[in-house]
Amino acid sequence: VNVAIVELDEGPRLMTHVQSMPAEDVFIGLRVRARIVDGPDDGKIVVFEPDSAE
Amino acid sequence: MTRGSQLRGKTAFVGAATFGCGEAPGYTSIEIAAEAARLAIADAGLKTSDMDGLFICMPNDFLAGLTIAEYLGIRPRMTNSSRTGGSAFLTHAEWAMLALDAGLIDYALICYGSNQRTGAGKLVSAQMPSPFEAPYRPNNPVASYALAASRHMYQYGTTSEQLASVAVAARQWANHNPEAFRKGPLSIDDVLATRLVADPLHVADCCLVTDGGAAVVMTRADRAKSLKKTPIALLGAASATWHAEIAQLADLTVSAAQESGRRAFAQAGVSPAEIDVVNLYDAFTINTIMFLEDLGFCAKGEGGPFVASGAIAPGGSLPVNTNGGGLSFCHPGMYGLFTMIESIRQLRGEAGDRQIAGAKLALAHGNGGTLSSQATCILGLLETI
Repeated sequence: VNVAIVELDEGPRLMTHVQSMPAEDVFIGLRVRARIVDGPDDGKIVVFEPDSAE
Repeated sequence: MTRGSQLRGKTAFVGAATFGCGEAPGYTSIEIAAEAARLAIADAGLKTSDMDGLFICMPNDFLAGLTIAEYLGIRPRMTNSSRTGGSAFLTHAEWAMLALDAGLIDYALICYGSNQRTGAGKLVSAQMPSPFEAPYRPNNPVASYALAASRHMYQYGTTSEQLASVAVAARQWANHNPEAFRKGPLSIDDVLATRLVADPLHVADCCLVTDGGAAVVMTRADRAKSLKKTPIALLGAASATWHAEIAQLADLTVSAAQESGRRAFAQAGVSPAEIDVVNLYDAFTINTIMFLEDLGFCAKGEGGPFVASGAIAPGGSLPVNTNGGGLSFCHPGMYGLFTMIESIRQLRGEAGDRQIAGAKLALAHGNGGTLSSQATCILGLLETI
């Protein structure tokens, strides 16, 4: 499990998870893209995965 | 004129005390605060009924000012339960300075108490869960500080060993403090061998979970001179808030301590190089590094090598957290007031084996939330006014 801060190209920042890769491999500067998934509570959350991921 | 400089040295700390640091089984939080208050008032040679300004912030009692006024049997002219997290007590000193100088009150009591260790067994926090953070289940507050630490490592090459050296220095000071909860040898390897709580922070990078209370009494400098103890002047007090959630801090390696420190130093008319003792809110090892940089004791990015050099440990060039800090002395949830207590004790020459000889100027710095609220007080002997 990781908790990350992602800064969007448009400027805003949010706390999120970076998924689809081992938590220990996530590094500062990694380009990511958003994905919307089911959250732990009712509703959806925005998470991110490496930009290179299919 | 520098903002607030007319308040320089107008007020002073005349009483200071702690109670129940470590474990205080059987006491409620309000009882711990009240005991600390009683001791601080006695330390000043005053009576409880003299206290006409009351400042308090408790872990989970939002109307604590009312609770403790009734408990102490006083009817304060001014009651202030304002909250900024662990920095609250330094902001209380800022407000007390204003109210005393204006003549609205004559004696301000600032107090705190928590039984979080024997009562709850973990940190008791009053912060509302954020709709933007909660879905990601951050292990707060440590997760937010870990993000700042990761960024500091990325931008400046700060290492886990340098972070650990903050905990080692704190322990070395604690070993000279009879009141400290955690004592004994601690090496950098020992710190790194403890469990990772939130990468890169280990258990030993985190402050303790203890009980404890503290209280101080303030009055105007003219009244202070006739009281029991050596008065300790408040030369500057300033605070700043930049964000609530860590993701909204513009540069995760720079806190609002840069602003609160700059204003407190300007008000006090002194520079970091003149400070003899520094007491910072070390909730996590990264805090000490960031605050030393932000307050101007070393350049931004050089905090890691600075602490690793032994500068802040006993015998070093800049005594920091001489009581052992939140890392090894005690941390009852909101630690801010303890930075003021240790500064007062050092300036009075009451610090025993850990006394800094000839200390005339001290800096106390509090932190609240997740690096969110920062508050700085500069204290000095009357001769420094």
